[in-house]
Amino acid sequence: MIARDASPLFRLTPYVLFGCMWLAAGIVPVLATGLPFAPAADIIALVGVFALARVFSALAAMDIGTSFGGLGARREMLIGFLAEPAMLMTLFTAAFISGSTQLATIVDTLAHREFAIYPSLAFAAVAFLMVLLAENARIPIDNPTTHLELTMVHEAMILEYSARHLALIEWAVAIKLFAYMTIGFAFFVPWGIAEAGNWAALPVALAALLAKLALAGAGLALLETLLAKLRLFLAPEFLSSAFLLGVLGMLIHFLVSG
Amino acid sequence: MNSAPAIAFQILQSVLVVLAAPLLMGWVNQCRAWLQNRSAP
Repeated sequence: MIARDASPLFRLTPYVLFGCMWLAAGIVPVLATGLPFAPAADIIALVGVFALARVFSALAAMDIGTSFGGLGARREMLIGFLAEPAMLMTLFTAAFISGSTQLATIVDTLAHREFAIYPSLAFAAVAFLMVLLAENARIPIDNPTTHLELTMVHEAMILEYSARHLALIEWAVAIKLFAYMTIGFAFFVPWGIAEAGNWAALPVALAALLAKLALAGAGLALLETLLAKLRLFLAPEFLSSAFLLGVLGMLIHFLVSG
Repeated sequence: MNSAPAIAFQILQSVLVVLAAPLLMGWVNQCRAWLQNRSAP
């Protein structure tokens, strides 16, 4: 069922969202580095792909003119414009360490270096976790299971969708969470990842990925159980803290490396 | 980089992501239900 006044943009958006998330997940080194898609985009373009999906979802939410759609779109853009710089600062920290903004190069450098504790990466990891929670509509910024008008952000934007369109959006949301988690693994726990074409390393890479996903999923559930949802007006403080931690990570990298 | 095994890895990863992403979401929801002592009716 589709609203009478829906434009083609409304029908197109679920496919764009799914395509953007699938593209992002294809760029991120999930199982192996050196994949053919890897040179297609660096970390800046990756953030751009996520931003493109956000713009389309906000436009589609406003397209049919319901109050909930506009409300959700405004809140999503508020969170998005604060989360994107924090995300970039976080990724730049890892990019400075490896000397490249290409994801595959960063992962190669971090995975094959001698084991060392980077204080800058510790700051970046905390900032990245905060951005992951905000960007994926998780507690404490949003509640993916709520339908209370005072609190919902992402759900408010997709209230008018049903059937295959809603299924595609929910699938895209799941792929986005998967992509964010694998970006986190690639930057902060890159061990176990294979090189493209090395079939012998594939079982280890697959087992390592499944173990990391199981632990990260359980950790996310634990966080969501322990934390309460923040008021919307506290979201800028939360994301400003993430941005600050990202900048601190970069500064510490420059201080330590001299 | 664009050898046949690399392309096969890319296809494998793309399929894995699409199939595993909903399972990850389900795993998170299952863990949250366990932690909150909730179960399906």
